[in-house]
Amino acid sequence: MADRLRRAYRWVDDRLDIDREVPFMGKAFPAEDSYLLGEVALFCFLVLVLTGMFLGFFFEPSTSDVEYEGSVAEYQGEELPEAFVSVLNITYEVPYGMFLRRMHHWAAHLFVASLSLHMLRVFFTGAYQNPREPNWVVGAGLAVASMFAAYTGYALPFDEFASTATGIGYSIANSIPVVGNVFARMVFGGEYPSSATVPRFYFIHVFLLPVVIAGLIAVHMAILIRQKHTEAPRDGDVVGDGQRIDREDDDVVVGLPAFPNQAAISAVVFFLTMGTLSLLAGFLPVHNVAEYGPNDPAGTPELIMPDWFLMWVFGFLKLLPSWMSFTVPVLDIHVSTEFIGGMVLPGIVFGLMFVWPFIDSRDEPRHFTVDPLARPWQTAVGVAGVVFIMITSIAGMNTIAADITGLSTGTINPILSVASILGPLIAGGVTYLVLDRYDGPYYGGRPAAADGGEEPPDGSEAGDDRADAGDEAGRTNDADDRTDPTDDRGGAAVGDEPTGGERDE
Amino acid sequence: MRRPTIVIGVIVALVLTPMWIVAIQGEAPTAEVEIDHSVSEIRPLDGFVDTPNKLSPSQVGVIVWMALFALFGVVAAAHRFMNAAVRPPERGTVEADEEVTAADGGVTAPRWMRTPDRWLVEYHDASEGVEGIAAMGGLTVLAIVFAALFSAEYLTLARTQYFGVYAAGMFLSLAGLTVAYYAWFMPHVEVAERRGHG
Repeated sequence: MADRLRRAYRWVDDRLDIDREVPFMGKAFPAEDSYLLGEVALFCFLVLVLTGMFLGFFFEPSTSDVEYEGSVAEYQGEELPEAFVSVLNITYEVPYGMFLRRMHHWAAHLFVASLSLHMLRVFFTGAYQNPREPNWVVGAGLAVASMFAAYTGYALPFDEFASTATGIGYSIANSIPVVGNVFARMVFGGEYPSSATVPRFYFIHVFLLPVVIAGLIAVHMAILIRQKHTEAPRDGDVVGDGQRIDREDDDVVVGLPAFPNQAAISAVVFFLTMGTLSLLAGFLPVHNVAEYGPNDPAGTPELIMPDWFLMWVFGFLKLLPSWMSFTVPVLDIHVSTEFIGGMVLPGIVFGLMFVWPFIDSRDEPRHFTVDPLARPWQTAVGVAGVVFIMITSIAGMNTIAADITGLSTGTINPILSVASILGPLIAGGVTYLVLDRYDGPYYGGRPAAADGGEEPPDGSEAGDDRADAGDEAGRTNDADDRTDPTDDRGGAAVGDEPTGGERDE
Repeated sequence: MRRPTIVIGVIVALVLTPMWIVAIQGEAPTAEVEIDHSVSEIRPLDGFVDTPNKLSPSQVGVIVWMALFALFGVVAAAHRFMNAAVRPPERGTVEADEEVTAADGGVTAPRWMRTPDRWLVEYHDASEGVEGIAAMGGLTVLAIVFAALFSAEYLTLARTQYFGVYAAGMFLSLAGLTVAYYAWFMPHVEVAERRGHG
């Protein structure tokens, strides 16, 4: 058996020269828990592709009416849009259909959530800074593309709930001054909902956006492999194979080899992600179209809302008063509140996300992550941003908030408008003050002193449990006779700029 | 936990809590979809737990974030167990910096791990303990049983809840199997690599 495998390997190697690439398998992956969030997102995308292929075998992207002959008693004998009927069939007639359709939906939601949490981790630890600005921009592009992919998928069953919510997108696209009408008709296949909308969205959802997302993931990974991972501050010098790596030396990355160690960890992440999605898909419905019924242009569902990750945009639309719309004199261009709330404000939020690494820029490359508590203003901005998104998301659900509180939306909206401005300011301000006055321990050692000097990177001041863990593991050594200080292949870089424990000002 | 972390946690919780309270309200309970079993033999809605018949997007948001936090907790726990279990402090280790070779009975790392730009900084042999064999054996049986049940359900009523339990059992068993193999049968290796190369 082993001989056959060896012969097969040699056969492939003779043709593709893969042996030359074998050292790639040893690439170093720092063993940090939070670094695995990106893998969760990656595996969710894989699940989306695979389950999407399954669904693609049965879905009919058409709004033509056909008679429903399936097992859902309520609709038997009715003329219904073909797209809606095909989703009913997938759900109630095809074995594994309901399970895999739910898994597709949950994977989409988990993809956006894990990607968001991954980005928050990168943000708060400063891992977007030089030289990783391009990868942050690519990641931000991925976030936007995944939201659009979810939006276009949301509309496909052509049920009453989703098609009404999709109509909000049409209104927003249509509100763009001058070009809005043409743009909306191009994306939505005419005036929404038209017979071309579902086929157009189907093409965008199953081909255009997956290609964009896959391409961006490929670029993201290529940049990651080229630049290599960031690394958490080390507990001490790292010694091995006769070389000492100074704890501050970020020219070298320390971690698990890609194969077999990191591959095994990735496999565990994959299986656990699949286990989570299986439980969600098995027990919790998502977008149950049979409950909503087919698209009804004459009706309005009781509850209208977009997917949760676009709720903050919906909040803008709900909060902005109509008097904010205006017409540009002379040019006679109308700027509506839909445009301001649906395009301008989200555009500013997304724009800030894209340019953030260039606002919080850094001349010198840095490969160690930084303790968020050592970055007062950046962390304050991050907390303010999170609070802002959450308050505007509440605004997107103002009808529910009104039901709970017994108040009218007319009373709640001004409160939420004020809260959406003051809340982030207060949250960011308090965070900044607390961090600015904080003089306790930081991960990776004490911050640089105010005079520009630095305190010695003493592991005892690292202030976290990992210092102890590192000592226990025997990885850190204070003295090693074999260390050659003149070795330029990763020797201690005494006098180099401190990295892991420094404070960003 | 450090004081600023607590303050930031409280700030976020003060906004997150009302957001989740509002979001989880979502849809009012509705009757289950009525299925005509004369049309199709499968029973995708049959199960052993009463669950909501529909969820609003806001409810989905709360659930998916809770699921993500739970998943991350389990991933982190598994990750730490994998790294801790393979290098108990009382077990003897072979330091790569001793520069021993296979002929000396020392480090026998695969050839791709060492390059002119990459070297070993830690190496611990696998413990190959008997408890590892027991764990792997048990988990292998579990994974096979769940896979068989998952396939068999297709041939019978194709109930979604059962698919979920069987698939989750299968994937969790496979995760446990991988964890056990890593912990007891895979040498723990760490490498250092220069960033400057391709």
